[in-house]
Amino acid sequence: MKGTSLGEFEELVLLTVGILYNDAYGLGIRDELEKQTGRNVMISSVHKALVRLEDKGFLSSYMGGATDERGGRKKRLYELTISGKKVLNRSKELRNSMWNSVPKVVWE
Amino acid sequence: MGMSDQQNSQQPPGWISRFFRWFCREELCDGIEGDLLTLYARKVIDRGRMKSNIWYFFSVLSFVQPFALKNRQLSHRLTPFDMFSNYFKIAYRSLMGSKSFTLINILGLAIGIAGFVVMATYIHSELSYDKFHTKSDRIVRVTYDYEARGTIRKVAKSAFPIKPMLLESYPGVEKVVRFYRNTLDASTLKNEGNHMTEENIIFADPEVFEVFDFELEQGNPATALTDVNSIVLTARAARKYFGNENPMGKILQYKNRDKLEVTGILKELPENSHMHFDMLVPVELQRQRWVRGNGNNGYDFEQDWKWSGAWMYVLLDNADARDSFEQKLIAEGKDYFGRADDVEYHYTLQSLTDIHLHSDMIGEFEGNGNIRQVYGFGVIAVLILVIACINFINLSTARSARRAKEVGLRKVMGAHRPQLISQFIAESVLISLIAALLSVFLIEALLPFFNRFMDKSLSVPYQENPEIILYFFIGAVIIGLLAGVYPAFYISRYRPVKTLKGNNTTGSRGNARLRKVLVSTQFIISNLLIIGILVVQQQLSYIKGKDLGFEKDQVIVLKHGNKLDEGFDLFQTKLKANPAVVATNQGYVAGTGGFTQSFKVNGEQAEAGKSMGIKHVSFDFLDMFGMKVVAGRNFSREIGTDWKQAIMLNETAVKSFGWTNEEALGKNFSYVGGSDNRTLFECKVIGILADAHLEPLYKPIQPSVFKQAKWGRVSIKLNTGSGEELRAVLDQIEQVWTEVNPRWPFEYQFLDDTIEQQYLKEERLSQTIQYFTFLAILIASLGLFGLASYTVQQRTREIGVRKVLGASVNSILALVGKRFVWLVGLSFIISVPIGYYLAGQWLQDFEYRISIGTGVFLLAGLVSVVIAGLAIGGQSIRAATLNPVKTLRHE
Repeated sequence: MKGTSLGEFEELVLLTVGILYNDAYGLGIRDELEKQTGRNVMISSVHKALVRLEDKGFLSSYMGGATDERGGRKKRLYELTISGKKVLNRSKELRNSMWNSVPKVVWE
Repeated sequence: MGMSDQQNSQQPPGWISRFFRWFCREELCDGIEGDLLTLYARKVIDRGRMKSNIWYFFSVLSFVQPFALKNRQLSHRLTPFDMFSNYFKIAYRSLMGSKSFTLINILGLAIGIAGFVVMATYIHSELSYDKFHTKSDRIVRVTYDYEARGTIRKVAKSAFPIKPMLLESYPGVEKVVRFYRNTLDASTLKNEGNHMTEENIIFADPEVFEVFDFELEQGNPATALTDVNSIVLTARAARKYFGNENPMGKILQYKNRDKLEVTGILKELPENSHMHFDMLVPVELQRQRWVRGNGNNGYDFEQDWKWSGAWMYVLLDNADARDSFEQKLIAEGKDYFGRADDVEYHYTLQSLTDIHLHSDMIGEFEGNGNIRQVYGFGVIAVLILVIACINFINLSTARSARRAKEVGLRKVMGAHRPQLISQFIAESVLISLIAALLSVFLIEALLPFFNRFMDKSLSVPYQENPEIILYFFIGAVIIGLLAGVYPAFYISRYRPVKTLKGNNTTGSRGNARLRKVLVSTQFIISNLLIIGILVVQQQLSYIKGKDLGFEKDQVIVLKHGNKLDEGFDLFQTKLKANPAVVATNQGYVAGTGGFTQSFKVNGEQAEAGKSMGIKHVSFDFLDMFGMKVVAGRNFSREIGTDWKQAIMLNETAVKSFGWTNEEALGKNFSYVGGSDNRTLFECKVIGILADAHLEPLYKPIQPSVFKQAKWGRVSIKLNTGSGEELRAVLDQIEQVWTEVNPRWPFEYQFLDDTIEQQYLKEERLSQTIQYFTFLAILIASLGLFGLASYTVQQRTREIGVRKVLGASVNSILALVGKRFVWLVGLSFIISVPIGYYLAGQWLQDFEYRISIGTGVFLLAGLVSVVIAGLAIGGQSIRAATLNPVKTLRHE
């Protein structure tokens, strides 16, 4: 299984969950993503990614309290699991080491 | 649940939410739905409910993905989703299996839908007239019926002084707005450098902007027309005079005299308004012009109860006040004319929104639509769709034999009938969805075409009303269901044992009978449409070619001829020198509208006040238009009294009094008229003119009186050959004009053009029917082609055997063609009486009309035989000439 691999979008979602820390839920993540990337993000793609990431074990979730705003619906709040943090670290390290391997001439 | 009202109003439709909860995994439900509801609440604020609902629907749809669906873990259990996707997959395969069949089916249906939608846009626009006025339900028009000796004439206008009276003594009347158009002569506007004729200046009361929703781009609607010397015009009209400068506050001179200040810029009037104008000026301006006007004895229409010159619109307090208002008006309105003749006036009301489709009175604002035509177009639209659906049913059932084995096998494998039915329906829904998609492009291609000849600017407003896309979708599904239901039930009835044994013809008897009925229906419809075209066109060419009783060729009518007045004699004398000018005439122009007067025969009380057309003409009138005297004599310059006292009647007028031509000569008449509508005229009949069709041919010839006058329009009869010569002569006339009358521009119209324009409506009708008949026939022959090729395919082996046994090509052609020819013949016979009846109904509108001959029907029959022949022929010939060796080897 390619369970441990991470797509670009999934990585962004994972990072956003990290950014939002205590209040990471579907719409909040989408809004943050749109703000950070400037792209239009479908709400269904966000939820899809969240479910996948939870299946892969990078995220865990629990139900938040109900509020008036959301038509009385509860939020499902997400947080990074240990392996989620690991996979983010790994991908960052991979990137860094690859950056470092690019000869300086390229940037000139 | 304790939800407040405000929150409730921000809820999306319940069924979408229920749908969502139905398919979505329970543990995800709250999290997702909460997000969607929050987003929905945001959208509603800046996009409105409709758009947000559509957005919500598609957002929910975007969650129909494996990750969010229920029972994800139990993927071995089939969901309805799997079932549908399987249906569509099978449908796709079976459609791709026979591409030509699918193509014909989709194409036919797409053309049908496109034709239907184009018609529907037209009908929708016709029905939407004047509904953009926010107060349209409270606005009524005051009209009256004029009844004299059993004939009733409906008039769209009423007298000016009714306005103050309504405001004063009628409860429930909030505002009254009058409109007036001066048709007596052409109006001009002038500023530095421009002097132009304006055809569409309307006089209006200042309240016009409070009652109607005609919007101003600039200027204050409350005060724009309060000053007598003000003018409001459209941006387009303003640009003609002021270019890109800001027109507000600029001055335009009306008819070389009154200086008007531009006080407002009108937004372009919507197409679906029953009145259109380029500029508005106060009614008061016209009144003052006439009151101070020279020689008019200070005519004041605010005091004149006898002249119905104004379109009068009343804004009521509330829509319910209408009934009591109308009753009072009918009861008291009779006396407003203050006359005790045997003429009766019944004032009535008309709803603003009824005017466009239901009103065809004397003096309408502009040519209205016609509810019967809207119904007619609606019927054509539905018929086209029916033809397309019939194709679909025919081709599907015809093909059913081929799928018998599939059905048999499925049944053996345990398929139930409902499952098979849904599968076939899914197939037809798929076809109609593809057809709907294709039709969107067809519509875009057809509409500009349709707009050009209907002189409309219709479009399908996908952007303004995105819900149309939803309707399209739903409509396509419904068509798919309707067209698919019969074949589905039919095919799913097959018995597996029989079909699997290879007995392919199972039950195709009843099936074939239905097919025959359907094909005949198509041909009946096509036949009717063909008969329709032929009758409309014959009537049109009859009208155009009919001898009107006067000569209209090479006559030009000057737009400002009436400004010549006394200068006419000089103008006429100068033009006489020009060899290309046959005659110059001042006064009534044959073939155009005129006035009506009430005439009294002196000494005969019983015949008091007969309403007749009055035509003011000059001495040259008869020569000019080639009209003939049947009794008495023509006007003569030598007889001094002719100028004031002589009148001529037409034959119809003589007959309406019950006289012979000889009896009529010498009779004395009197009438009240003149430019102030108060002068008494005494006159005597000196001659009788042959009847001529001076009015459009819808109407009977009007009893008319011809009298001398030294005013009115100026027409010139020319005698020139080539266009170049004509242009030279017109230049010469213009020179003379500028010498005699430099203050007014030289503009003219050809009389035959003007007369032709009266029949524009019929011209358009004929073109519309023509194009839609073409569409209908195209679809029907597509279907027939498909059906024929299928039949031939099915019988290739039979034909092969026949040929081997010695059948000739001709006999095989007859074998294949016989069935269709018989059907075409039968439908022809059925369509003849129906067509005869319908065409007769349409012709009722015309006072002078063709009689429908057998020629029309023979031609229609011939056309449908030829079309059927073309559709079937190719296939039959191919089948008949195939080498039997090949066809028999075929299996």
